[in-house]
Amino acid sequence: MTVLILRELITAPAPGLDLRRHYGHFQSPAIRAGGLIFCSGMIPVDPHTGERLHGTLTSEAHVIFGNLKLLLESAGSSLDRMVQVHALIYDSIEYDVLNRVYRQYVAGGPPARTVWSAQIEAGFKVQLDVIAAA
Amino acid sequence: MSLPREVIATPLSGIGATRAFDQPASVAVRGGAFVFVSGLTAFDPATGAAIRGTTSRETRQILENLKLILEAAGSSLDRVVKVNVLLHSMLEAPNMNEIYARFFPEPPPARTVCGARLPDGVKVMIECTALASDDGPLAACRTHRSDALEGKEVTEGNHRFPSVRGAARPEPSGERRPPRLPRSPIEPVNPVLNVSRSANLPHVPGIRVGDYIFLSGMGPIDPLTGEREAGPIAEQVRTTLDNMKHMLESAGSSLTRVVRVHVVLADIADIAEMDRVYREFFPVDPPARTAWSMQLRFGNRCEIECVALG
Repeated sequence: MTVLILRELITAPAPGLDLRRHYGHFQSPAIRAGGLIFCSGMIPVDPHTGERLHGTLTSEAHVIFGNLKLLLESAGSSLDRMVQVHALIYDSIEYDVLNRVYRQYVAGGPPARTVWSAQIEAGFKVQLDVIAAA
Repeated sequence: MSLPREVIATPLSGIGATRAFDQPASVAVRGGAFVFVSGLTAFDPATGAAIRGTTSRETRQILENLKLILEAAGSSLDRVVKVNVLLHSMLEAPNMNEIYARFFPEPPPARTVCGARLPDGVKVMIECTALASDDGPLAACRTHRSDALEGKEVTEGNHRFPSVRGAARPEPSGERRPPRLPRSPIEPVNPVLNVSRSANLPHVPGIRVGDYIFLSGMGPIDPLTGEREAGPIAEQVRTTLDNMKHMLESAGSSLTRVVRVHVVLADIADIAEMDRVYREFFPVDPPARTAWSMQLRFGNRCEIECVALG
């Protein structure tokens, strides 16, 4: 019995979330494979227009989680089914600020997480790199 | 019943990992349905000599080598699901992206790009996760596994993995229901190491999903007191990996079942000393690994996370 393990494209659930179209990033919004959903790094963009929404770490994280919810739910998953998150923040001094906003979105059982302080594209303050169960 | 975990040696003599990839890590590891490729830097596949050039030059070389490595591992660029790109500066992202776009067929993998401090003057480091091929190196193996959702033992006489919905069930016509893997948190036996609980942080020590365990980043916590260790790098790495061993064993896994490791150092100059200790924990067939440097919290000198087979 042959069962192929599929690699499926998850398309942008809203026009603004197609970062390839707006910013030329050569990447798919997410790929589903092996029962998991691998999301591209999520940045705070307007889900309708793709406009970059720079702000505080808190405001950027709210936008990202809103977009992530759209993306995961369009793929039949949800924030409650996240498995692993790499939360990239621009400076580790904002760790507690991140936790305060992050907590609101993982009330259903948080995933494994590592917080990294890294340079993020376009001077954003936060980026989420997510793997979820399909 | 354990899943097969196979460390894939790169059989191409030219891409000789020994010189070009002088780390206590395997270039690629297959575990379950995926192949995990270590963070690659640019090197000449014929001689193994490091190549340092522009971001474009390094990106091209890395992706050419990645193609060879994936094919040696029984996968290919069109089966890559996720790529992580580390750059010495995010100002170089367009230069990387331009070359990158020439390599991956449609639709491209999911990707995250960020800037970090990289070892040895490297400008680009690329790691990836790919689906293993059905015609991969496990072809000759007789594998045996339990079905994730239905609790059925499925003996595979060949290399093919059964679907989580049960291998023998015919595909329904029309809409295909994606498999839903069970997902549950794991906990260390030693409650002192459950830092997310003691510090009330919005994460769990690890998550088991399907065949895999994903651990949160771990630091050098004293397993008796819960205090952070402030010692030299060798001690911090040893404590962190001891804790990781405990965490995996608490979940019925072990260090030998780790497929991917991320090591983050506060100071990139600590990499040789970190390697020395790291080797003791992964003496044979080490997991795929990516190591770099970033600002760490609490004055920690290292933070380590991993993915393992359950």
